[in-house]
Amino acid sequence: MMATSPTNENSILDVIEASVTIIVNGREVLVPRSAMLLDAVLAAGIDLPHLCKPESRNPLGACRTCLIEIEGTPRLAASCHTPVADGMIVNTTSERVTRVRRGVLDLTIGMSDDGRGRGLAAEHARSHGIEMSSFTPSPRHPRDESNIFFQLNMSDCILCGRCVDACQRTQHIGAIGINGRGETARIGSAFDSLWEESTCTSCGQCVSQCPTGALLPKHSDPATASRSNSANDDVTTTTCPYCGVGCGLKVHKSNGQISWVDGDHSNDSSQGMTCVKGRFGLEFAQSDERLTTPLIRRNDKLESASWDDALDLVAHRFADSIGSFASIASAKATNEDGYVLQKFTRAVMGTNSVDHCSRLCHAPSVVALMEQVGSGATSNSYEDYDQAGTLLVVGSDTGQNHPVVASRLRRAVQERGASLVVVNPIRIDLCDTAEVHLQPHPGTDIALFNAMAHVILKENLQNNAFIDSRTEGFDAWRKVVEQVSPEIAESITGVSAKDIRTAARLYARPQPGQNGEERGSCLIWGMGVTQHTMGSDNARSLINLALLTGQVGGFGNGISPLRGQNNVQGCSDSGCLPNVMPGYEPVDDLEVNARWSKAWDSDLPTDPGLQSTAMIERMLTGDLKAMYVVGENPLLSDPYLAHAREAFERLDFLVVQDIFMHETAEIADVVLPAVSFAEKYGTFTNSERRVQLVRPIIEPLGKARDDWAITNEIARRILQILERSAFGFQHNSSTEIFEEMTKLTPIIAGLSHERLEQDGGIQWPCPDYEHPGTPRLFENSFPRGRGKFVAVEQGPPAAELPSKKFPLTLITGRSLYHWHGGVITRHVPGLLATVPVVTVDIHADDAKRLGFSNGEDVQIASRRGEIVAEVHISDRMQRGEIFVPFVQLQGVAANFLTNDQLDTAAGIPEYKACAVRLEAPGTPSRKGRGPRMQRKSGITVGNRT
Amino acid sequence: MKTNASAPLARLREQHPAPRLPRILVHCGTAGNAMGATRYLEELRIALGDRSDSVVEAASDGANWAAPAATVAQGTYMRRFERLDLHGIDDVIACFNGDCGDEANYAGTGGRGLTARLGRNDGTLGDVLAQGGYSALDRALTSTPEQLLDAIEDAGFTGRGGAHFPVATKWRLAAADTHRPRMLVVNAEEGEPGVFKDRHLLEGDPHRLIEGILIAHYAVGFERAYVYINGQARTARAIFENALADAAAAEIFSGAAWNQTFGLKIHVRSGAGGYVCGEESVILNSIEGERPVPRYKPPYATDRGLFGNPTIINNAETLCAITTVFEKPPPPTKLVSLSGDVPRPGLYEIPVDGATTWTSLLVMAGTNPLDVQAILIGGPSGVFVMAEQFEEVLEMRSLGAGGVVAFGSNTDLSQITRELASYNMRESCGECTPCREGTTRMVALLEHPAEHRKEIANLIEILTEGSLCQLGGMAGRPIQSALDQFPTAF
Ligand SMILES: Cc1cc2nc3c(=O)[nH]c(=O)nc-3n(C[C@H](O)[C@H](O)[C@H](O)COP(=O)(O)O)c2cc1C
Ligand code: SF4
Ligand code: SF4
Ligand code: SF4
Ligand code: FES
Repeated sequence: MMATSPTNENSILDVIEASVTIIVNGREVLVPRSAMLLDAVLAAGIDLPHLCKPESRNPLGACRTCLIEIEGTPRLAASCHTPVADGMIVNTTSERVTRVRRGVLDLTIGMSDDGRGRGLAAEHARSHGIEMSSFTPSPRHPRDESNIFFQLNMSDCILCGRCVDACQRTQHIGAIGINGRGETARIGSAFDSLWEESTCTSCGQCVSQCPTGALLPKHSDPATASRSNSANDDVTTTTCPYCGVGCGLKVHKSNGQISWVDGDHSNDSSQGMTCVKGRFGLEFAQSDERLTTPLIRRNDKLESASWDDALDLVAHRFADSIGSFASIASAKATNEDGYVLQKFTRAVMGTNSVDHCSRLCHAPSVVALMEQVGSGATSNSYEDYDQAGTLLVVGSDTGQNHPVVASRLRRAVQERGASLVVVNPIRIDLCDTAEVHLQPHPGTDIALFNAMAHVILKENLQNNAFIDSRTEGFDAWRKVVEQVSPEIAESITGVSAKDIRTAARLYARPQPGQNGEERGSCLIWGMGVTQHTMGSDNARSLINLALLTGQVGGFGNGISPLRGQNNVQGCSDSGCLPNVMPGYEPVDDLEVNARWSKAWDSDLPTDPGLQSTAMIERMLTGDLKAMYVVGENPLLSDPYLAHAREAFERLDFLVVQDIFMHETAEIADVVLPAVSFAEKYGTFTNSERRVQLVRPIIEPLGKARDDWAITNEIARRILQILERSAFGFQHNSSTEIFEEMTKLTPIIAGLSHERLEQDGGIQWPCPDYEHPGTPRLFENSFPRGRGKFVAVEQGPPAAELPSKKFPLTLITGRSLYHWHGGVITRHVPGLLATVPVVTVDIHADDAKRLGFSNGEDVQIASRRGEIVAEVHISDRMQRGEIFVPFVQLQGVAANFLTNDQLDTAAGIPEYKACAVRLEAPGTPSRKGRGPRMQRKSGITVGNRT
Repeated sequence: MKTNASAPLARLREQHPAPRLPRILVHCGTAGNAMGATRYLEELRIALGDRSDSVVEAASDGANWAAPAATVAQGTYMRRFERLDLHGIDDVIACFNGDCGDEANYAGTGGRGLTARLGRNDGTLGDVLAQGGYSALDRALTSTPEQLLDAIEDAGFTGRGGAHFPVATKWRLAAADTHRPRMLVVNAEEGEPGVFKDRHLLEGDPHRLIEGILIAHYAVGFERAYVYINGQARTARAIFENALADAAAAEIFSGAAWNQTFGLKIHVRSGAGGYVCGEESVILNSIEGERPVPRYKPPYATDRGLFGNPTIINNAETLCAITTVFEKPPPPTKLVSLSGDVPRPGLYEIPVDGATTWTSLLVMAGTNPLDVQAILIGGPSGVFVMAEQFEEVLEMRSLGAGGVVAFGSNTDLSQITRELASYNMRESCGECTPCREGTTRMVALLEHPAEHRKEIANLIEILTEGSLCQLGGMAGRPIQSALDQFPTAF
């Protein structure tokens, strides 16, 4: 386990040991031995300019405005890159140093078009007594307004290089650089093209670093704003509401509006980074289209209603539905929200039928992990990716879906010499940084990973000590993989035997570090592994590889299913699953049942409940009559949507609680307006099990309420109707809810909102208040004892294979600029403008063969439906395979095509492969094939009809 | 010098015998070819008929003014024949046949200093070994690295790239760090206009540089050496790489010839070009594949240089000069690249022994010092020396990298000053504000210098104190010098 924290005496001695004293303008300051003079000067409370020093990163040394005088040295020194030494005497105010610094500032603001400079440059020039440069203004080249979210105005630029550093060395994207030399030097993309045509992902890291406002978000006022200079804003530190990376955000608000987002440099998960959605995608919270009042269906129309009427109606109808009720929790809401919802479902409605969207993403990972190691969570931390020698990334378009993790992967490759192995049928962006890209046909992963295991065994690269002491089932499993030579796998997967061997060797024998130290391998996977009918087997074949090589439980290794939504991990942790209570205690364990029943003062059911995909079938059979859907839109995210819609329409009573109107809410009987992440206090748990605080930025919109408060109130009213005690539903604040859940859930027993306020995010397990949290699981043993090899064999690649009529394989996935189905991101104008229509990526040869050209509309048809999308010829694709993101735009959504065949163990649908064909738009639909989705005209923001 | 050869060196000499004399070396190379030297190579071969293989191609010996030229090597002496285009080849053939005429023009063989063999060998190992090649390394291997460092320190060797930092001090800084792999970077970028010594050394005596590298390696212990050659010096690079291959084949580079394992890996790289590309940290970035701009210092390369490892960067001449460390007394000489208004522009190895004056240098170059109003030392980062200072004794430091330009009495020195300012502006890499902006502003101010005395003085201070690297840091130097030396010219 973790080392205990040092005693107080120790730490004071350590501090003295690690510190030096230097004298700044006659004042003694104590600073760390590793500090630079600039740190010491700032620590002394002196406001020294340092225009080019990037936040929390190595200095650039370009602006030369941080000059100081060091006693005993002839030349002035740039304080940002001059290390401190004990006893140094420095001066920031002598006549000489002030004169030179003023001269540098004078030259600096002379670069602007009016000679006054902008942002921090102007501010520091003024503090040195210059309003206006003594030189004739010599502004540089014009503006670049091609990016949707921000613009570059070269005449405000001082060429400090911070934007380039941010792009190249923080985000590791390398879209921009300094072009030209000397007088003609300027910021621009690699080929001096428009910003928009570069590889820029609009993450805005560059904008966050610009000291002058030369790079500025488009809606800002350039006269006053510069990002590093927004001291007057009201800033809230919170956690990003988008993906499972869990980036820390510092959200600025001016005049009541969310105006800008900085990355939180103190957040260990994101280290000051964000992606485009976290940076520029929060506008949805203040959208006019938010739901602000309860709606009740009257005369087949949803009409505004009072909270009281709505809650009463819901309470009565739910009270009547006990026995035929299920709920869906939101992986976007907080742990506290999820906890109250599952408690309501179990304690009030008497059923374990509560589930959430992880069914549609990582359920197979959880099934396999539970079976093989005994815990469904990511074993390691992002920090381990930094330290690994090999990074094996399978079925994850990390750059699109977990952009900040992708930045860390690129950094590991570019700065630390790690080898990146990408396994993906699509040539994703990350392949640019990869050492090998294995491009198997969809659905052939098992053959591939079994063959990798085969190579490892054949070349004797396995970790025998680990196999002997920490695993079981090795011999039986070995017999299976020994049958799968790389050559056999080549014939199934289309990946050359040579590449399979290379990947196997890299994984089993990761690159040593720069000083020759041994390093580990990290295995990272995404939905490409799980969203198949054999999703669980895919995950098993991967976990077998980790067990074979012992690449789990140590520093710089581990296994990580990357979590899709911001709080998928937390939603599972807090018990929104049909088979387990909070903290993964089985509902059918009588001891567990007794304990929770007592705590909640009710008789809890012991029968496992329905998985969300099974709920659809029960709606169709009529066994399930009432549903409570919180923060989810199954009528967009479920496969074979026509079928799902039919099921939902059969319900007697549907309650949807959300922040926007959407496909499912449109057919609900009652719609309840919830607050967004921007109006809540609570916690999200990210993909590396880090529990982090979410803090309110704005006041609740309209009549919207906290999810937990709505559920709590429904529970109280039902209990009243049933004449039961409302004992368990007296919640007044999320803090109090968190207290209850931590008291009852051992893995998070050491957490409290207060502690998180003080220490920042903490990774569970954290059993007590002294415990620092756990970056790495399974260090000495697995929860189930020994890790279990489970033999799996390659079957047919998909439930539905390409045929003569449907010759292409459709792969679905996500898009960087949209969030899942797009319910949220359609309300961010910039994101919508970046990707306004559904596109279909296709290999040039296929497009040519079928006679479609780039930008043209095409109809994609499967056995279940058809949609129209815009052709995007792309070298990402292999022949015979096409890709459509599952976002719904203008009424078009890929899930009208997908197959609802399930993985039997995990209940996940096969989103990653179904058979389709391309045809001219308007080709008539065949009978019984479901509705045709034509694009609605114009850009619909929101989806109210 | 063949004296005191160890058994291994003697064996090497046996394996690579000296060429037969007499013979004729035609000075081709970049400098000679530009003047059509290859034509005389052909003419002489035809003229000598069945003895034509005694006519060999050699590089320039530094006397660029004399090209096209040839040198006849007889038993114990050599004689150079200049301007074959004016004088023809008859005298050369006569000398080859034993009649060399006026003895005043003889140069003895086995001379001292780092130009002893320059252009006077045919590039074969046999010729180089016969003329003393690798005898300094041979000698060094008989002492300990510490004794070697002491000898270098005692001889007072300083870097020849311009800054004249003591060689032994620098080497010791890196030698001390035994935990990390150490790197050697040989700076042969030679981006400073008017300097051409490194190119001459690489073309005319590449084995001397290899020998210098191996001596440095013996003293410090490197893992890798990078030789960074100006991208335009293609001939120099080709000749150097050939020599490297020969040294490897003869097991000199591996150390096997001495029954040792040196274990040094060597890489040759070509530079991006431009003045600032010779600055040491630009070279580090360039080798690492980064943008060729300077790094800030500290940290210094000896602490965190190439790929973060302790790194020694030395000028090519510095390493060549080190091969003279065992000469008694070690000759404090410096290569001077002399150009401008003199009859004999070219490369000169001059003693910096407290006796040489600017006047003696000018006389050597065949000029009357009275015809020269000023010289510029150190190019765009340099200073002017005026006629009245020509009697001053030369010092190593003041020579910089050894670029010297003479200006006749008709030259407008204020115009030269403006050109130097423009040059610095053009060559500024643009990374730091004082230099990028300041050099541009300087050019504008120099349009009307009399009105801007104070601003110019301020700007010089900002450039000097504020710049990130020494291109900007020294860009004010020639201007300050001009203001000091000929204020009335503005
Ligand atoms: C603008 C600039 C250009 C330089 N160009 C060269 C060069 O072409 N060759 C060189 O050896 N040193 C050059 N230097 C000096 C190098 O930075 C470095 O000091 C030198 O290579 C060290 O070798 P030394 O100690 O053997 O002289 C230059 C320095 C500056 C500031
Ligand atoms: S927005 Fe991000 S990707 Fe684009 S240039 Fe800036 S840092 Fe690079
Ligand atoms: S755009 Fe901003 S961050 Fe980039 S170089 Fe210019 S001033 Fe610096
Ligand atoms: S001083 Fe000039 S050449 Fe050196 S870093 Fe600054 S801009 Fe570049
Ligand atoms: S902050 Fe030190 S040089 Fe810019």
